[in-house]
Amino acid sequence: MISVQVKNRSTVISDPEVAKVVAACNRQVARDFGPAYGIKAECKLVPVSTPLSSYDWQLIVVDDADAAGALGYHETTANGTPLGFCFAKTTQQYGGLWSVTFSHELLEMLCDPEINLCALDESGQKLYAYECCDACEDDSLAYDVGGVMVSDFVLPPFWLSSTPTHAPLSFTGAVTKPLQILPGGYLAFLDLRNPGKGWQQHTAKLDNTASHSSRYPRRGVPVAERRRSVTT
Amino acid sequence: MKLAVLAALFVSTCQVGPFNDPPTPVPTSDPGWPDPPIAAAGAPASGCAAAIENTKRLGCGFEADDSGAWCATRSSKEVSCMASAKTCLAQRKCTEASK
Repeated sequence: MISVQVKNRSTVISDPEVAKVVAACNRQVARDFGPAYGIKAECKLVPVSTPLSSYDWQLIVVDDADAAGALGYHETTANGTPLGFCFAKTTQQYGGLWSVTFSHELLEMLCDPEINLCALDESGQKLYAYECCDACEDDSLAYDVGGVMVSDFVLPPFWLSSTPTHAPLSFTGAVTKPLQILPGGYLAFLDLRNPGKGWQQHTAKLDNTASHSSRYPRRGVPVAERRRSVTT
Repeated sequence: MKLAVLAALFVSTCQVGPFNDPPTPVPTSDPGWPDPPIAAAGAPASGCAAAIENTKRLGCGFEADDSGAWCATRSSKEVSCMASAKTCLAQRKCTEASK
């Protein structure tokens, strides 16, 4: 069982609100996400002063993004433990639901804790980042768990681009084809024919508006150059 | 230190390529998934076995070690609903609605 310690450092979200979202996300992981991915995990909201061991996973709710264009992201600490951030105030400023950002970052931490997993497309020429919420990350695709909106997520066969599809490929059923990107979502990829371009994105924008913030991973930064967050 | 962080973020941002791929359209109608097992003509499976089979077919994951014990905790209405659900979310609602 993976244990994720949650701390609320936000000034716009109260501890009871965070506790309600934590409970909903625990239910989402136990009932929806965990069985599909074979992962068991539980979040626990703790006071911000609580010391963490070197092995605790963390998900921190804070106000503002420290990276341009991010509603949340996940990375690893200097100890190598996964660490996610949910930017609650920034998410609200973009008209988004911070609970969806929280759920998104939690599920993606569980899917790919080291941010180093990838899937090849059918042609074998593109390597897709194994981020299980990005393709369906828009709030309009979220679903209700006990009165809290949580992120839709793709199911494991989503990455099997050459395998016949027998059923929808995300939990809500919104995604219907391998590597499909729904409006408001994106997928990061590395073009193996031109790897020098680094990680790029396929997007599906909403209403032709400029792409706003996303809940993105830190994959664009080479592992050796990634910022190493301190354990808090 | 801070400069290094900013530089890393800048690199991260700059490595994002052009956004010129067309969006994948959202299906406006049922894409025509095959009928779940309970609807298969002549299927020998019991209702509960069909519900479990449909759970696996949808990719929702089935974790119970003892399927018999699992079936014993489900009502016939839940089982029927789970066997005919077309998404994992719809299937989950089968058990929520009765509680």
